[in-house]
Parts: sequence; structure tokens; C-alpha cells
Amino acid sequence: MAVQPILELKEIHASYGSIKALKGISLRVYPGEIVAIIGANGAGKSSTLMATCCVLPIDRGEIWYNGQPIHGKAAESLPPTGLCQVPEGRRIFPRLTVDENLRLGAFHRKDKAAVEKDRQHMFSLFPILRDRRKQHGGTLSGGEQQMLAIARALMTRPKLLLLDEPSLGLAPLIVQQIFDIIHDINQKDGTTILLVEQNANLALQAASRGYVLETGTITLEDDAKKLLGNPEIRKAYLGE
Amino acid sequence: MIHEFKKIWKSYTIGLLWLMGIIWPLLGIHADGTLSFGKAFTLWLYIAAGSFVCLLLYIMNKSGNLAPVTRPLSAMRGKATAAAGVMPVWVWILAALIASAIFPVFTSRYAQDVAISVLIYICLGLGLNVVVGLAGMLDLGYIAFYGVGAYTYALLNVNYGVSFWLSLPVAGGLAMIAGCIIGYPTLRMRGDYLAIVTLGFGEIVRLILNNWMSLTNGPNGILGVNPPSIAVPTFNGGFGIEILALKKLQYLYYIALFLAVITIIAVRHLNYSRIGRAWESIREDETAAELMGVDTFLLKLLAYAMGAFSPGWPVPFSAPACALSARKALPSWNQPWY
Repeated sequence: MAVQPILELKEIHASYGSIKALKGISLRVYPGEIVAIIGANGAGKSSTLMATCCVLPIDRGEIWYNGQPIHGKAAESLPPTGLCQVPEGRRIFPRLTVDENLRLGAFHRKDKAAVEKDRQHMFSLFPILRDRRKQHGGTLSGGEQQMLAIARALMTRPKLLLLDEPSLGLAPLIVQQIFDIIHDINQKDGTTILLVEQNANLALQAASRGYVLETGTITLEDDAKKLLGNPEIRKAYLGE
Repeated sequence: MIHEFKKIWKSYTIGLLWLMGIIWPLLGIHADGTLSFGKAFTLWLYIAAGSFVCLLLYIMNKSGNLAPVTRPLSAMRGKATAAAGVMPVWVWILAALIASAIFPVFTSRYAQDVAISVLIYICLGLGLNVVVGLAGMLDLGYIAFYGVGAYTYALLNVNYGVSFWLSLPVAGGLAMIAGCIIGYPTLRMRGDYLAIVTLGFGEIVRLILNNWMSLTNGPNGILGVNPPSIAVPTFNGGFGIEILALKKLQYLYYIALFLAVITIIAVRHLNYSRIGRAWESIREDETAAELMGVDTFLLKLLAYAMGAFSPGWPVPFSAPACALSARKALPSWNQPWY
């Protein structure tokens, strides 16, 4: 592909103390796609995203975003450039109201009118948040919290959105709803999405390409359709 | 009723026996080694009788025998709270302001002295709320900033004759700088570790102030701090300006009130601002705040600085207040170390 990737990881190594979490991860995300990373527990999926957001410092390797190296930068300097993450387990601010949570997403933005417009847009995207905007974040249900976490991240106007396990602990119906929204964000707003999921079936159906992660290394990389049809994958991750 | 009594009589009896066990050693053992029972037993009987009446009332209320009395009373209370809720907030604020404004007219020196302490502690508490309440950093050495503010004014005034009003921002500013100096190395810690380190810093400041005899005169404190003064226009023999030293305690009370009100307004605005929200997000989840683009280090340092300013600046003032009211030097470290 001649197009320049929006995100490129080159041989990323990272560790927690003496435990190596990532052993040379390389991946590319091109503008406009949905890319899924699937893998078992402890394969390094969340660590990959945390390293991309510069929260987890990397030992070796390079991270390029939008044609610029971002490794070693401060984590808080990334959202203004359009790289934002919805962390695993949602991690909304439980004792702030829904509205305050959303406003925090726009923390770095100075254009008040546009922020207000985005806020209204979020309320139309997630009508339940409008009803609950004065409630504390911690009082929302799991699905609502996930919507709030996504809406909060969208308030930063991301070019590339990293989603960490959006289906975690949610009822199947809600999960479907969340994935519809993810699809919409990608199609309508043109936001590139890097998706980490344990629910491989759902993730690969939503994504255009996929990576398979095993104990800190990428073992497979292919089109999502082909991965779905791959007998190995079906056996390992789709329970057949 | 019997049922209610059955539920409670055991703990009630044990409580009374325990009370006896406490009262007798207090009243029955005398300094000369003799023992007596009469006094303790009489007191115990009074308490037992009184508490039994309370117990009966409680049981009757529980089993519904008092309903004819309590029902109209609770209805009245409900009406009163509803009426109070209808009044707009500014009415209450105005009432509180007026009450605090006329307070010194009707009260003694002692009451004014206590009121000044209360107002200073309001500023302290609000500043502490920025650090501990909003940003969620447990700072146990917070009172050190109070000391920095107080000594700044006392030293500037005694050695260089700097006026009260000029030292007000200077003291606040120096407390802020002290906050940053203490904050910068300690902000790498989180939670309990931060609490321990700040406790140590508070103790360091106290020990320095207490032992640096040549500068602070140690535990004896600094004497001869001037009270604040204001410029008043006079009209005898043409227009002129006279410097009037506010030596009366009630003037100090008004200044303290003014500073407390300003601090309340400032902290409230800060609370509902973008920065206040960011502080709260750091308290809730530091990593998530970082992912949302909040510069956690800078904002925590800012919380320290702002938190330090607010105890630093009213305090210059506690110096003359103390000197005036109790003729004691500033600051006497009988203030509780938070």
C-alpha cells in the first residue's frame, strides 16, 4: 500500500519489572480502517495499547503516529494530536457527573463552540447519556459506562481511536449496540479504530484486518475475513 | 411494647453496669487513698433514672404509642424545611453576611478572638480541600504553609518594616513557592507514601522554625509585630491622609472576614472550573486522566501551590491578632498540626 500508515509500531519491547510483556510487536494501521487485535488473557493486548499511548514506557522499538515518532512522549500530549484511548474496564470518573466526564474529554480543547457542538452530538449519538447527564458516572450501568467512556474519548476529536475490550462484562445485546456504534463512528466520522478484543468473533466481523497476539508476539496478520475462516483461529479463539 | 423492650433490655443493662464501673473509680477513689461509694452511687442512680425515662419514651415511640404527639410535630418540621427550601440561596448568604458583619458589635473580646481563629481556619480548611479533597493527595504537612505565611509577615515586618497589606500577597506567594518546593519531589509518590513524606516535610519546617534561634527566636516567637494599618482621609485643617493602625480586635475581625469571604469565592470558582474538574479527574483515576490529555504532574503541582496560597495569605494577620489579644508572640505552635 502506498498510503502512509497513521500508526506504526516497529519492534516494540516492553516489560513490567522483570516480566517481559511485549516481545517485538510490529503492526500498522492505515487511515480509515478498523483493525482488530485478538488474543488470549495476558497475551499483551492491553499492554500494546498502553505502550502506544505512552503510559507504559517501552524498552526498545519505535512508535510512529501520523508520520512522527511518539515514543517517549508524555501521555497527556497525545490526545491533542488526535490519538485517544478508551481504556480497559472503561475507567470513567465515577464521582464526576456524566457531563463533567464528557467535558474532561475536551480538556485540551479551547474552541468552546465546537466543544458544545460535539457535546450535543454525543448526546444524539448516545441518548441515554443526555437523560443521565447530571448523574454521577459511577451510578451508570456497565453498558452506559462503556458508552460514556467512548463518548468521552470522542470528545477529544480523535483521528485514531484505541478501544480496549469494549465488550468486557456487558450483556450480548449491549455488546451488539456498542459494536454498531463503533461501526458508525468509523463510517460516518471517518475515525480510524484499533480494537482490542477477547471476543474474537465480534471483533473480526467488525474489523477489516486483524492481528493475532500470543504471549507478547504477533503470530498472525491477515484480512479479518480470512482470519475468521482460518481453521486454526476458529479452533483457538472461536471455540470450535 | 413488651416486644420492643425484650429487644433492648440486655444491652441497656450491660451499658448501665459498665457506666457504674467507670463512674466509681472516678468519684469513689480519693487522692488520700480512701474509698467511698455514696457519691458515685447517687450519681449513677440519677443517670439510671434519667436514661430509663428516655428508654421508655424510645420504646413507646417505636411501638407507635406516641403517634398522636409526634405526627403533628413532624408535619410542622416538614413544612418548615419546605419553606426554607423555597428561599433562594442568596437570601441565606446575605443573612449569613449580615450576621457575621454585626457579630463584633454584640460580643466580647474573647468571642471575637475565637471568631478570628475560626475565620483563619476556614481559609486553611478551604486550601486543604483543594489538595486533599479535589486533587486527592493526602497532605499531612499542610500546616507548614501556615507557618511559612506567618513567619514571612512577622520577619518582614520586624526586620524591614514592611506593611501588612504588602506582606499579604508576599506571604501567600512565598507559601506557594514553598508548596512547589515541597510538591516537586514528593509528587512522584501516591497515596500512603505521599502522606508519609508530607508528614516529614511538615515536621522539618516546624523543627527549623523552632530551632533557628537567630532568625525566628525559636519557641519564644517574634515580638513586636505591628498590627495592620489603613490610610484614612482627614479633614482637620484641610484635606490630608492619616495612617491609622488597626489596634482594635474588631478591625482584625473584619479583615479576617474579608479574607475568608474572598477565599471562599475563589475556591468555589476554582472548584467548578476546568482546572477543578481536572483535579477531580486526577483524584478519580490518574491514568485515565492522563489518557484524556490532563497534564497530571503540572496540575498536581498547581494544586499544591494553590492549596498553599490560601493558608499562607490570611495568616500574616494572625500575628497581630495574637499579639493583641493574648500578648503572646507569633506563632505559638499550639496549633494542631493537621
